[in-house]
Amino acid sequence: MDMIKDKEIVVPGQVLAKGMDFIPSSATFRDGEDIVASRIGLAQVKGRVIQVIPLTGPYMPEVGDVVIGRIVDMNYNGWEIDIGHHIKPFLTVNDVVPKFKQRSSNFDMARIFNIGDIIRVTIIKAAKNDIKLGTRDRTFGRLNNGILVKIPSVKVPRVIGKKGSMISLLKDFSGCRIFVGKNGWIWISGDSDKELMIEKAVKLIDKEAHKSGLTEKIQRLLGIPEEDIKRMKESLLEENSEESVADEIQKVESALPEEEIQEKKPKAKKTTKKGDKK
Amino acid sequence: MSYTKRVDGRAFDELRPMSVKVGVLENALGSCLFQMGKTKVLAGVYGPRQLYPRFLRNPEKGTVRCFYNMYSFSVSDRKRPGPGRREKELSEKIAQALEPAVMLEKFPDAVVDVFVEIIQADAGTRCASICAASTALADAGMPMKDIVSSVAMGKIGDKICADIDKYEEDYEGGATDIPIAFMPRTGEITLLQLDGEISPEDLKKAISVGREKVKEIYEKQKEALTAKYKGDKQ
Repeated sequence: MDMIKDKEIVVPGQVLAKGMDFIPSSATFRDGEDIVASRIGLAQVKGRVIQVIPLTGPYMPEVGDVVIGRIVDMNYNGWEIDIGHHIKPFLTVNDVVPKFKQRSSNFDMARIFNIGDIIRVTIIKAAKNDIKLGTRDRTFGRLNNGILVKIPSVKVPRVIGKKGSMISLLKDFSGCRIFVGKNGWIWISGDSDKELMIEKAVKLIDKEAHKSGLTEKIQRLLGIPEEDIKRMKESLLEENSEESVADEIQKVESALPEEEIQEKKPKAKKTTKKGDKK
Repeated sequence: MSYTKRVDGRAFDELRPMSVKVGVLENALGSCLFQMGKTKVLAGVYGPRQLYPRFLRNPEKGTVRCFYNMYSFSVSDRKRPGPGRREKELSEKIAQALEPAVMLEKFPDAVVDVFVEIIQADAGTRCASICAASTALADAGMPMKDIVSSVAMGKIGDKICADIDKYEEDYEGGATDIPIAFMPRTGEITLLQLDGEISPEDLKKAISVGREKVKEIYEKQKEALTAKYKGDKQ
């Protein structure tokens, strides 16, 4: 019986395992006896469950995703929003502004959201041909004075890092406000040179997401002194001293499974919000 | 007159030297430069994106749309640029050959655009296009059942040959070209065309030789796709 090795790069159509002893998970499917990969990515074997962590690909929206979007069209009824998916969800004006305010004589839709504006929004419905956006949410709102960087949505876990380590590294270094949308759109706001620096870092994460030693590479790019890099690495290892060092490094470097990210992201967001109020 | 030896000294079931490279276009989601002997093909994948005009949309599953284009300098005589009858037909055929491999039910109403540019032509351009396009689709991270591989089989004189070139295509002793595309894992045929005369037995033989030969092409495609990410992986 041929079995795929853990963390091997697989291509669509590649047989990962034979026999009914295994269960296909994300980006895989069962064809007769075989478990087959359906996307290019890293194979992951967790006991009996086999899955592929995609290395690239189109964004597939899910309910609860906080995404960054751009207003691309506007009519009397609301706004059309591009979220990096082929369906452009529609946001009705009734959801955003109460009726009595709409009746006011100086009500202007373009002052709420205009074409080209960047907004942050949660997905509340993600059917195959229907996406709906939620507005009754503290994440909802326009993002002003920042830059937008787009990366493949599958790289988002690496930008956030283990327990939000990468995103907090970028935030602490630059003092920028950074919002990472689940769709791979990243909004950065701060000093203009710092913004560009973070953009560079994000691009590097995109390029080297599947390789190890990413945190150190980013620290070097940001110009953090070597001693500090060493100290940070040591403190990271101390925190997780019960597990073997080599295992831990590998864990940090491997792409994170979906469920871990969702827990992390709201936390990262909250910290920025607090910072803003001050 | 029997065809005893191939012009370039290959064995009858030997393919021309191949080279596959992915990620050659920055702006495309996925891309591939596929070379087979002197045939050189560049493919780029864009989408999934919304399909216009709206009546072309399929609410059940997405659409693959292909644009096959031959550069005017791709052949020795200048090729008149622009899509003619041949180009439009080939675009359709390539899209049809790719469609069974892509999991389109995930993108209803959408279209995946595949652009194929023939940089240099030395026979077998539609087969090279299918190989390039399916590799580019995989590079784009599209969910797929398999990578499609394709080989231009032929009956030159009285011999079944694999991956025929321009000289063999124009052979006076009678040439039949049979482009075939497979999904290598299952061996399913996604494209089968025939131009010329051939007996049913010979056609069956050509298909079975082709089915073996595409495995070599498939290995090259797979190698190219994994090489993009392997790099200096520790």
